[in-house]
Amino acid sequence: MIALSRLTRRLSETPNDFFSEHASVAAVLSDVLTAAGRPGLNAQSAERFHSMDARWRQLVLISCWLLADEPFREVMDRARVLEFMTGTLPPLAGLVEPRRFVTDPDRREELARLAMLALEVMPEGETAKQAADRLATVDSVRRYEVLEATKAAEQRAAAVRKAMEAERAREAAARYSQV
Amino acid sequence: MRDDYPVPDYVPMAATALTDAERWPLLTEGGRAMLTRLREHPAAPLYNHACGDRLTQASVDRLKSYQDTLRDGYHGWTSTEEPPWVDELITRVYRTVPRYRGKSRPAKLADVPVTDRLDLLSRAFECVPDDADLDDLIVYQTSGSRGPAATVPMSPEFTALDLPVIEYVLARHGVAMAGGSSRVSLVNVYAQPVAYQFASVSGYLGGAGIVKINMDPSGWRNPADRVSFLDSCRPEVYTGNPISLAALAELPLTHKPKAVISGAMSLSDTVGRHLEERFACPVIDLYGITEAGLISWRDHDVHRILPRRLYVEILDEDGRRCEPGVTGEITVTCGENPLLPLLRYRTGDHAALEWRHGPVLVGLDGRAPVRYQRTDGSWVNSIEITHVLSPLGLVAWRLHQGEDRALTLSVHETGAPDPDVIARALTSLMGDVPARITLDDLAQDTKPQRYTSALS
Repeated sequence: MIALSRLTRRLSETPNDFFSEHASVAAVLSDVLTAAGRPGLNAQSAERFHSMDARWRQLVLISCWLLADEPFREVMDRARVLEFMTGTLPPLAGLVEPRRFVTDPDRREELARLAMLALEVMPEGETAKQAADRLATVDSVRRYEVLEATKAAEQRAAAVRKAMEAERAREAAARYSQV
Repeated sequence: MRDDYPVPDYVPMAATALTDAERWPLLTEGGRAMLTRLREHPAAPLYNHACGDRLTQASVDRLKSYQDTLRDGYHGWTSTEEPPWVDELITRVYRTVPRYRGKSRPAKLADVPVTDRLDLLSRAFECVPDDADLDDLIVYQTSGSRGPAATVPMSPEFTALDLPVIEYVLARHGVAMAGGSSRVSLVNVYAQPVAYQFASVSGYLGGAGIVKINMDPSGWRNPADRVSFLDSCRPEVYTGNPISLAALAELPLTHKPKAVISGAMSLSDTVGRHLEERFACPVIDLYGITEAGLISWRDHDVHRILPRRLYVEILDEDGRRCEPGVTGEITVTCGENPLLPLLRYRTGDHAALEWRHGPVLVGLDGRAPVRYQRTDGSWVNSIEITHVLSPLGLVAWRLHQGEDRALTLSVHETGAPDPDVIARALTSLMGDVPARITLDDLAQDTKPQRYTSALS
């Protein structure tokens, strides 16, 4: 278990080095893994961190700072970390400007919870259900999906209304009985 | 055409939007000749609308194979079990229909919430499945003989489902429509101050002529044209409602159809027998609703439910299922209208359900016509009242005529226009009969008995 407040405080204190355009993501990530006693990246696994979208790159660096925190060392799992960096973070970076995961309390909580979820470690003092509920309230990807679904539903409703009001629909077709 | 009639929808030809090629995708040379014959007939009615079947070959093929569906019987519906397709329909509706989206799918039909026409009226666009093809969408107004008139979305193919169903019922009476482009198969008869009149042909019936006419003399160049036109059409079948068919029977027609089909209102035994004698053919009483299509046909003292993929429950006022033989509200579940699949839709009509070699409705309380008397003693049918009140956008109303002839009109308050506007519409039909208009909350009454009278 890790205290959520510890992680959000750490995020708010992310050093400027982790915003550097010159930092090598593959090298920083390797350092995080090896510091926890896990194998670093090899040439092949480092490949995908060489040409990255700028926002994804930024978010991976911020997340490296987060995962470098002491309590994560014990639960560090190389495969899960790589999945987190390459699966969870790209869509999130597409939706939220990465610096907000440092400056905005809700986004700090979101990233801290996502990291704990990825490494299968519980937030201190919470049940699995409480943790899932709390994550749902700050989940940017889910909120985006809900908004998109709402937008799609509104567009469909407008299309149906328009179709029902169209003169083509009102001319109708011949009927053969009376009901 | 009377130009003072307060129904804007009936401006001649104002409601047409398609080309003939769009109206009849399968129009053959023979069908075109039939159409021309009907349109240019010297005694033809004053057509005020154009309307095709809009059927593609694929639609006609599916409608032809629908005969097999009807022959299959009740699709697993027994006296003790629901047909299995109901379960698939619940799943499909909860997955694709916006008004059900996000709600958890009940395990069984009895747990699905009921709906009614008020729901449809206020949220029709939420009832159309997300995967339904909107290019195929057409709309009809319900007759409004009970409850508020609603706009119902459907497809041309669903509209034409009446034809195989009618053929099925005709076959039970030993009658077959021959169709073909040298014949008029069906004339749909109305008797209202104004109604759409049009000539059409049916791709399903091989280009046979279909005509919709209004018995009212105002719809013809000369009232005598009604007889010469209809006797010249020699239709295989007349369809109509008890009022229009009674008016048809008054005409000195010589042609005898193969069958007469009545719908929309209860057909009394007396009127039914009179029509049988007058036209020397079977008279068939059908019951249905616009939203779901034809539901049953009269077989002696019961209404036999059609073997469509249509499931009927009878519910009490609290929405609980009635025991067999106990009268309650006819509630339908049907997925055959692709634009409006219905789960537990309350029809507003009442009957008991029994099992007699298949499901039957007993004591069907159809929509009996109600007449209202003017001060000069002439009568106005409730359908005409609906025609003048519907354009005002009223959600629901109840009209009662007392013994002193005074009218009381209670209108659902939500969205109601000024009572003076309503009074003017009513007066346009009823003349100087005293009328009192009140705005009330009718929402408690899910299906108000719309028309009552102490006089008729």
